[in-house]
Amino acid sequence: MSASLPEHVEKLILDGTKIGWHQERLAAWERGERFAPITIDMALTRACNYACHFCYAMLQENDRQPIDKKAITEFLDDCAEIGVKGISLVSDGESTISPVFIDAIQHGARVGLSMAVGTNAFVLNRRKLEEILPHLTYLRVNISGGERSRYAQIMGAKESAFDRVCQNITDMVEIKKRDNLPVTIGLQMVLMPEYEDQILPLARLGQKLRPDYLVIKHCSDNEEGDLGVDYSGYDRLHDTLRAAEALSDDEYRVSVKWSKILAEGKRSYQRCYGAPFLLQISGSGLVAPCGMLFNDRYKKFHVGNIVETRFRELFHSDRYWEVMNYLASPSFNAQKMCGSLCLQHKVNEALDAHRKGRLPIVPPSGNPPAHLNFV
Amino acid sequence: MLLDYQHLVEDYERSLFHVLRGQRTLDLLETWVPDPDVVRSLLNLFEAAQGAECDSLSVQLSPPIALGVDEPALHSALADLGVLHIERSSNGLVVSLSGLGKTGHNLPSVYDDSLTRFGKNLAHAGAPAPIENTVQVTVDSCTLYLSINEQQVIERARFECPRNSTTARLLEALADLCEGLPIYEAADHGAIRLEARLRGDKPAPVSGIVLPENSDPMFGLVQRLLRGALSAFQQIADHQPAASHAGFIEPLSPLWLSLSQEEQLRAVNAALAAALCALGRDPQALCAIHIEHETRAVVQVAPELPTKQLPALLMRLETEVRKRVEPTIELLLAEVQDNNKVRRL
Ligand code: SF4
Repeated sequence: MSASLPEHVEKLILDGTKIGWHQERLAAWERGERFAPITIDMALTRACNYACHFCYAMLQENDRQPIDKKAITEFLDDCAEIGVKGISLVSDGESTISPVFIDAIQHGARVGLSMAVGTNAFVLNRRKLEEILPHLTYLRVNISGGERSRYAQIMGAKESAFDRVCQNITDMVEIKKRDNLPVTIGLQMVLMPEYEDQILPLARLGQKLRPDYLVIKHCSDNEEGDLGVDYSGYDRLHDTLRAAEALSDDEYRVSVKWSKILAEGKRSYQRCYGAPFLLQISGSGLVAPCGMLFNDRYKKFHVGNIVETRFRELFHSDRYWEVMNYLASPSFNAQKMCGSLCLQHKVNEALDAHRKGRLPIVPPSGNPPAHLNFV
Repeated sequence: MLLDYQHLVEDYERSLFHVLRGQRTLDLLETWVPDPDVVRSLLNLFEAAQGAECDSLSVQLSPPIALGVDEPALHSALADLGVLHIERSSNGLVVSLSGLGKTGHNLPSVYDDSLTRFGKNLAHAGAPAPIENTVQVTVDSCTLYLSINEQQVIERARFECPRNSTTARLLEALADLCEGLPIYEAADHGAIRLEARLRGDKPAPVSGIVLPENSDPMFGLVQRLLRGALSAFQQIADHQPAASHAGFIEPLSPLWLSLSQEEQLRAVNAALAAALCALGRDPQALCAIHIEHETRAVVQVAPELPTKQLPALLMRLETEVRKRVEPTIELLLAEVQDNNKVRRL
């Protein structure tokens, strides 16, 4: 990493967890009290206008219900009331194509929640960007190709979509600079070993478009390996990945999520303690501990649906805590029962090492990192 | 709850002097009378807490008071009341007792039945004959001995502590649990396994996430003994640290493995039907249609079953099937496919 990166980029934690900064939640957890998630990762719809080759959402199908304006407004109010800190609109659908997308961001920010978005950015034209950027902590664009034709092939979109997305990224960077907005703009490459040829073109594209960062991460797969991710294939990419990182400059950081890539899809822990700290909600409104359990196959872990029941009721219900307790109990084994490296992985690793007394989570010192509410 | 001993005594003395009637300290300690002898005073205090149905309590003694405390005498005075933990530091001494209600028969806890069962035959009590590869760890006057084989599996476990105490029953249950577990698994998950085993189907002791220490402080003793045993093992053994990361997967029972797929299905379906009946539901409401990866029973659900109740019901049925058939069975529904196909490049 360049030593002279601006402070907000320098302070980003792109390959780790900020759980240590939330000591009050950790203490409540250890006392056996009920505590609100720090972050909820969700989508406003399960649908998507792309068909990415690496898309995990293909494996997450469950009963769809439309999340309308009433449902999302009540949900955000409930989150603020019970003490949720950040909402990331990522999860298992392209939230920007939901009619309630802009309202959700503005309302969330109004009730005091930190809001963030992960998107393919295809529909985010300049007008929409003007409306949402002032309310966001970060906006991350999923882009797994740096060249027109390969982008189209990998992301299941037309080649012209590449040009439009590049324009939208240029616009968001410009608006941010013009208004000096605190929002972080990032690009994310979900990397399968067969996209190797796109690592450097994408890192160079980033140099040109000037977002704050490009993060390159592994691709998750389910426990059956349905997406066909070849985890052993990441080994041969190390030099190229390091070359991409070397393209970082004073205002643009290329960062590889090494810890997950080097883990080869394996977990060091069996209990899952992370879900109540970092909860996921499907674009169908389904509340389940995590995205890997969205599919109807895992019905026994499903808590309820925010379209039918207020979130605060679900959160306070014994059923919610029964599910969370199952994951933390000897009845559950994440090494055997889960797909590869979930969103909660880094939180799980930290909490597990803490529980085992191997690496206690001590209150961190110094200035808090950026995006604190996205754990 | 952590109380400061010196403050308690000072409060007591002040109130003796200033309050003529209705003199009392904390509700919790309303029958407590301090004694110039600190050990006796603490015995009075913990008995008072026990009488007030307090389950666990810690008392902080300042360094000057702690200096005068005879620890062995304190142990023999308090050990019978519950699970004792004494911690000395530069701040003095913290004396903690948990499971206070459990030595008498008046305060049922979610662990009582199981502890009583284990207390009937303390088969693992007493030091073992000296044999190779035995690690020994002592915490709060309780000693755990583990004989560990070359595969890092605990072959035999023994313990020593005052008999006729909650601690003895707890350690009997612990020794029984440990045998057959790898030492790393015991150190990492032994305490939570023991909590789950002793509690069985009883309600969770806390409203949030159950962890050994928040369930009952007596599991803190278990944790310390097991971690102590692991570090003792690491010191004597030429062990491979990598083994700690592999993760222990519960072996399947020979009986389950000896069954054909059809027989396995029949066994799961019989257990499902029995459990559904016990819940007052149609025994045909749910049945397993095939077994994947040896332990995953994929079930089909009758359309009449209310979908809202299905998630919790599945979890409950899984527990029953695990109890009746095989402890690691998972109940899953068939995967719902996305309307789009996964693209191959
Ligand atoms: S460890 Fe398993 S259950 Fe826990 S969040 Fe990850 S995928 Fe979900």
